[in-house]
Amino acid sequence: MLRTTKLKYILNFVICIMLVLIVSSCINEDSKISYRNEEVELSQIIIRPLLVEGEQGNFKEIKLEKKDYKLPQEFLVFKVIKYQVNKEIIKRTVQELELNGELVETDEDFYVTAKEGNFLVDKFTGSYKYLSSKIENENYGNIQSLLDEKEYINKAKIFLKEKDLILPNMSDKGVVAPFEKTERVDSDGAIIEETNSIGVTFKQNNLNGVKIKGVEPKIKVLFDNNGDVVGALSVWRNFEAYKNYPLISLNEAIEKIKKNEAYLRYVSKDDTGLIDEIEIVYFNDPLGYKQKYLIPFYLMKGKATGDKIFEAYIPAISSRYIKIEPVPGTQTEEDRSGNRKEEPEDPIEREKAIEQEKNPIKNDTREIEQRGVKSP
Amino acid sequence: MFRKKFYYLIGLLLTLTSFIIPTISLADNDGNTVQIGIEAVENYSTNPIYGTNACVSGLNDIVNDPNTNWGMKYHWSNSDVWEKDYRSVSLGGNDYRLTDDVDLAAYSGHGYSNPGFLLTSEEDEIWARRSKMRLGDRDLEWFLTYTCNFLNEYYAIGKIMNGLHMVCGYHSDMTITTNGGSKFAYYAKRGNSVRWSWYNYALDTQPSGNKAATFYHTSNKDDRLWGYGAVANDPTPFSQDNSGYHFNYITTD
Repeated sequence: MLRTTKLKYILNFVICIMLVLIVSSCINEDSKISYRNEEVELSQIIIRPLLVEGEQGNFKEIKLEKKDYKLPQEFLVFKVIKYQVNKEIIKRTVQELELNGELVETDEDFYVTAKEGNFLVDKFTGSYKYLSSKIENENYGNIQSLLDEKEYINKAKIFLKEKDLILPNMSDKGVVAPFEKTERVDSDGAIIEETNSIGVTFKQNNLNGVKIKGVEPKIKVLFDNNGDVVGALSVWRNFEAYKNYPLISLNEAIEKIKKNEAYLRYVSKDDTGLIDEIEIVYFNDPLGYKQKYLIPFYLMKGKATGDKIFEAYIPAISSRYIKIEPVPGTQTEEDRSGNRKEEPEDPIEREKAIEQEKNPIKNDTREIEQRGVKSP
Repeated sequence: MFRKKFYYLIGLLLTLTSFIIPTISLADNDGNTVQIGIEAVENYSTNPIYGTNACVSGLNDIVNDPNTNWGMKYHWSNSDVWEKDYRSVSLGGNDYRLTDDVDLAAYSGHGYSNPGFLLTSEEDEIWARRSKMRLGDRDLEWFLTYTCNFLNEYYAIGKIMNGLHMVCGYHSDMTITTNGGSKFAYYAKRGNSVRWSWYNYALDTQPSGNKAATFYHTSNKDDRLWGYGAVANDPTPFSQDNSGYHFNYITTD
């Protein structure tokens, strides 16, 4: 009798577990969706909401120039993988950078804040930011002709190698360009534009020959007007091949533009656009977006009103395989606006404020390091 | 006996309080409180922007830092964002009670160099005009503008600098990201200057071709946020002497 009851309990427990597993497999991010008459099963892919850029507006009219666009029926999706961070290498890098500060480890990163500069490494992506305190110096000079392109690139490569700052899949090709510019005025009030630092940029290699757009993975090495390295800044992610997914048609993609389901650049309200260039690219999210997959996007380019060259990025995978989830930790609250009331005003305070605005120099006797610091 | 104990306790309390409240001589009107004020607009009728509210809300990461003393003075959104929050008090605005009454202010939403921020409330008009801003005379040190093209034209930007240390923004179009504020806060908390916290945030979040920009007085170019390093004195207003003001920008290519 006791045995039968025990068996019944166990059986019920097993059934419950199985039910939970079945239900959760239907609702979780990996719920399977059939494709090609159920020959292949594809998981749903989580992406972040599309970005918004520029002035408020979308096309009044958008057309596709008739060309023979040969596009594949399906495309490889990549998965974002965690960077294998090595604390010993980071310690060595800190020594090589001659930063005399404590290396702090948190859940998300390693960082050093020192008099000589700052350095931090993101544990998930491997992205880092190194800034020498010299970067704050505003020395101007003939910075662009100080070294030739080849010299800048070689120096940048040597720096990255010596400091263990080369990241996996970094392109060997460096591009030299002014990075930081300043406008100031001379004694006659004329504006002078000068270059503060030169950047040598190494991008990530294309994936199977396909460009990575969006926030492009890159490493930038910065030089000052003495030809010294004063910074190395990287934005990086690591990917591994996942699965092929079917693509939507070009007409479906254009419909998505019309429905504001695309990321548009250099487009103004009521522009007309003619698409004359289409390619498939991968779209990399901003750092911190906890991106899970790197998916193909149609990049459509063409001329908008006023001969502007616009760019439209449209997720190339059908919506049925995509689940859009907000960036973790940055979900907005419900809009509760509309209740603000004007607070009563003290006319004397206003008069004082007007007087202060006219004579803004304040008596600056503050102890500058202290403010904002909590007392022990 | 009881009275002795009472006085002893009062004395002890006062001594402890003197440790808790630092005796700092401050120039700003709000005494020892360092505060943030944020405003965001996202529900535009023709082209709503996803994420402006979340973007500026990320600055709460500074408020939540247990090692510092920042507070959030206000957070208005959508129709509660009014143009007079930015307009100079001399021009009938209310900046002295909002934007210029905090140490760090941020706006996120559509914007243009001219006229300025595009709002959804018509209280008193739909544009917060850059030409009507005079900031920094009361309290504001740093102004973060998560909006397009606000930092164009040296002399036009200069006019808003009335004791303000630095304004951060874009010299091009920009992309709103929900982690704009938290990225800025992250770098500021890691010892970066306000200027480089802004540039690092921009490099992490902006596609190629955008230009992140800062406009500042050279004496303030290395400012850290209060509690994270040194802050230089308020600069001479641009209207009195513009020689020390620099307009600086980087490309995110």
